[in-house]
Amino acid sequence: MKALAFLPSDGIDIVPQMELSDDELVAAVKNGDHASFESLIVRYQPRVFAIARKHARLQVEIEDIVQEVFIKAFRKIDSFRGDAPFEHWLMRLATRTCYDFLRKHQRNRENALADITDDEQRWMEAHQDREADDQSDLHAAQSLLQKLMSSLSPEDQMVIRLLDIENKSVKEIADLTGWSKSLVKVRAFRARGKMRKLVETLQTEKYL
Amino acid sequence: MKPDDTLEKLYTAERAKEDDQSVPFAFEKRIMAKLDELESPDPIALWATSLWKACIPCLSAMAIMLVAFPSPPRQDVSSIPAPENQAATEELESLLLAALETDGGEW
Repeated sequence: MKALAFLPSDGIDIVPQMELSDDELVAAVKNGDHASFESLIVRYQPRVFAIARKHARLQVEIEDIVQEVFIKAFRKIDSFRGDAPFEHWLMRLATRTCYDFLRKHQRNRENALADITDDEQRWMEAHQDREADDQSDLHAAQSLLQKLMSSLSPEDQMVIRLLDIENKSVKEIADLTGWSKSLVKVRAFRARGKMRKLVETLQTEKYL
Repeated sequence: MKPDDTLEKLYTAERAKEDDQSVPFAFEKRIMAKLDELESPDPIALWATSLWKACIPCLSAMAIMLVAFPSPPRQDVSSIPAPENQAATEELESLLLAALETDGGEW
């Protein structure tokens, strides 16, 4: 017996539920118990939301990505063999769904140099000469980076985020994206070059 | 300042941003409802699919029939001798106007 139910004296039902493992929930879903999938959603949706928020800005887009991830997970759950933890499988699915989203929306790529706000301009000017690691005005730096990245191709955005921002290894990126290790390295090399060029252009054309 | 240093500062700022793991209220219910909707068969879609499926054997049968039984060459109306042609025209005309004539109406 997995769960015990008892009725306390005040008449309120308390059912201490034994937490089912991912493998047990996945097996239940595979056997046709679709309700068990809801437990998996509840368990992992915060992490999937966090991943989606790194690649999309609008709340509607973020929610669409998360929904797409779980629908794909449900449909492909029979292909999950359990060699790796379910969590890894789901995060891989989430990363690939985000990449698909970037590819679909690449027509919206921005011209990073055309739309710099005053705050971002101040940040660039302040950090032009200063060698010290200043953590002031993080928000301006974050939005400037967002703009620079949004002018890159989806592949470049993905590799910069995973490699340089999240500090993942080449092997981890290859696992998450499905690209070969050498492809990750080539894309990282190109993406870093493009980012460097964008910053150089910002520095030379606008601020010097 | 070198571009790489500026970039590193930008990346550091981005890393400082905490992961936002907040979830809209009852979002899992929305996904489950969507899954139910996707899993339940749509009768109109099923009907349309079956129509398309039925269309394939019909077209195949038609193609086979056309190849197996080619239609005989049409006889040109102008090739029919004139008096015979005339008689057929009159016969058709009287047949079409028969109802009016029996009605006794006047033009």
